[in-house]
Amino acid sequence: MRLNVNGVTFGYDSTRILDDIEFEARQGSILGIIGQNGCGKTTLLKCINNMLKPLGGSILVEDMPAGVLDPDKEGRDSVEVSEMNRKELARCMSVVSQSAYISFPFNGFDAVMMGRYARPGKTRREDIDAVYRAMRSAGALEFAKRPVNELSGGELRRVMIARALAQEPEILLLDEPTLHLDVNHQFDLMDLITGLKRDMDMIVIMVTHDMTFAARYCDQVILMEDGHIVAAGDTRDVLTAEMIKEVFDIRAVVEYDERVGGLNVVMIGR
Amino acid sequence: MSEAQPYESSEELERDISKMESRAFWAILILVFAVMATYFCCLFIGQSSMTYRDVIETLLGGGTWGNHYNVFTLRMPRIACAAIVGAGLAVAGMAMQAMFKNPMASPSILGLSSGASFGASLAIAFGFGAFAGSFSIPVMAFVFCFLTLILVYGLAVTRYGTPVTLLLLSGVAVGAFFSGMTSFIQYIVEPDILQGVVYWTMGSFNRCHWDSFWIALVVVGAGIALICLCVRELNLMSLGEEQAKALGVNIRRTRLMLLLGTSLAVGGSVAVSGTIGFVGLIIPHVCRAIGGPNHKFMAPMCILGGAVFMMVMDAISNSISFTGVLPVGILTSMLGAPFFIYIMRKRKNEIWG
Repeated sequence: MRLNVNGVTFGYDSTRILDDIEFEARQGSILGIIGQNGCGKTTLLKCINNMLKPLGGSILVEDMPAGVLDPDKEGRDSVEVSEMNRKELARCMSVVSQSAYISFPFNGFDAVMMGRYARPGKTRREDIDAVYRAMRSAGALEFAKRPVNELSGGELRRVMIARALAQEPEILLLDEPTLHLDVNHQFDLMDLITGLKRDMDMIVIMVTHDMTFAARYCDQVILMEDGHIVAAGDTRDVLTAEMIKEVFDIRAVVEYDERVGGLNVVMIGR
Repeated sequence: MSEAQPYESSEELERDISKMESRAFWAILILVFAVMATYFCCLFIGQSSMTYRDVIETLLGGGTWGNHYNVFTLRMPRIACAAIVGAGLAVAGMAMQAMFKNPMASPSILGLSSGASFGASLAIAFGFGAFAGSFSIPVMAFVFCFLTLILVYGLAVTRYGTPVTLLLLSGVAVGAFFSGMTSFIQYIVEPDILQGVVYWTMGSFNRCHWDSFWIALVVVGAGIALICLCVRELNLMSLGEEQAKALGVNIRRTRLMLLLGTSLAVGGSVAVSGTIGFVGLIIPHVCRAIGGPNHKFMAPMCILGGAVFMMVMDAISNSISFTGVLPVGILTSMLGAPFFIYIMRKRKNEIWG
């Protein structure tokens, strides 16, 4: 399966927010979208799951796996995101957004169970099993009985990740997933995501401004500035000191660090 | 993840969750009996002076013609109407609170009650809708309830969807317009008609007969059914539109069903009883506090709880009398307003969060 973004543009009346965005995300890899605040990262994510309709361009899912599309479309190889209905989209991709305040005191179990809406199991047992697996992976089991509106930001984030996993998606969209999390939970989360891409062969697309995490965990990286792509490709080719200087105006050293077993970004200063 | 898991297996999790849900289950069971018991007890309360012995004798088939008339033609339909109106208003309130993800929403917030009142006032004061004969008041109430709905919805639609804030604001504006118009009617009509209009806007079941019960049953019942078809969606909708959408809910269709269901339930209720406020606010709140916010349990609890609440309120209003019967709408408002203030202060976070 591949996600193909072709020349996507988006904007409101006077301002252009996304300009000719083009990239491909492949199965079993983590794609990081990096850029400064207001560069259009989150808007791009919303275009991918058709929450916002692009003004131009197309977003295509190719080699669609079975079980995502409704029976009338089943068997089609590549489908545009805008052709899918909300249920199909919810089976295809799940989103963990930055803020997801819940006004009513649902408990964690109920909240994660909502992820099963588009993919209901044949029996309740099946759904509970899926919810259990998702909550265990995300480390959210301890909140099963707690009202979610009383959880802290980081705790709620773990419940939301569990809900996204309960959807059993092919594509996982994450908007600043490590924000508000404790350092240990940040690492847990990134390990979980790495595990998902490896074991479930998912496409993971992650919006972040944490370059250290991006360097360490992302296979490909897209650098964005003012609504367009500055550079895209494998992380080690894109995330270079020169690029960081250009986009963020910050001096940094990017080098292979054997303690980390991968790229490490050290930010020096302006 | 590495630390010890609170639950070793999914069976263990299920057991624990079932334990929590059994509370709502028991509440529903108790409410089923409460509805029957309340209905029976309320038969003993009414305007005419009948002793307990008289009522029981009549129920068993005996009694005088007057007692028979009192029990079967006055009290029974009145209490049945109270039950169905209570159920309808409570479920409508529940649906709106979920739709607007705001625990303060209720049928009056969308201006539905005001719109329906205006339609009914037109019928009472000027005989509009006379083509419907003796059904002119209910028909006008439905028509204006739908009209309000379409107006409010139409005003709130933008190119990018229907934002909840805009929906609420247009509800307030349209509601204010219709209550102003109702006041205007009250100002210009003859005094003898005025009494009828005013009495009706205060809300009462004392003019309910079996024919009003059947109207209520069909219309309110259809509204309740529409809302109950959406219980799963209600849970997701109460997370907000964006999350509901991302989880697979067809927002447009669900919202249409809920708005239609709500206006049927409210229109039907207003048609038989006039405007009775705060039921749609109080009952869902109490139900949520007891059984949790899962609408799978909340919907039946609201239906049954609303019925019980309204029957009791009607019984109370029939037992306190100053100069005739106290309209039940006054009673629910006197009770509801303090309750409204209480939750407004107590649950600030949920309301504005």
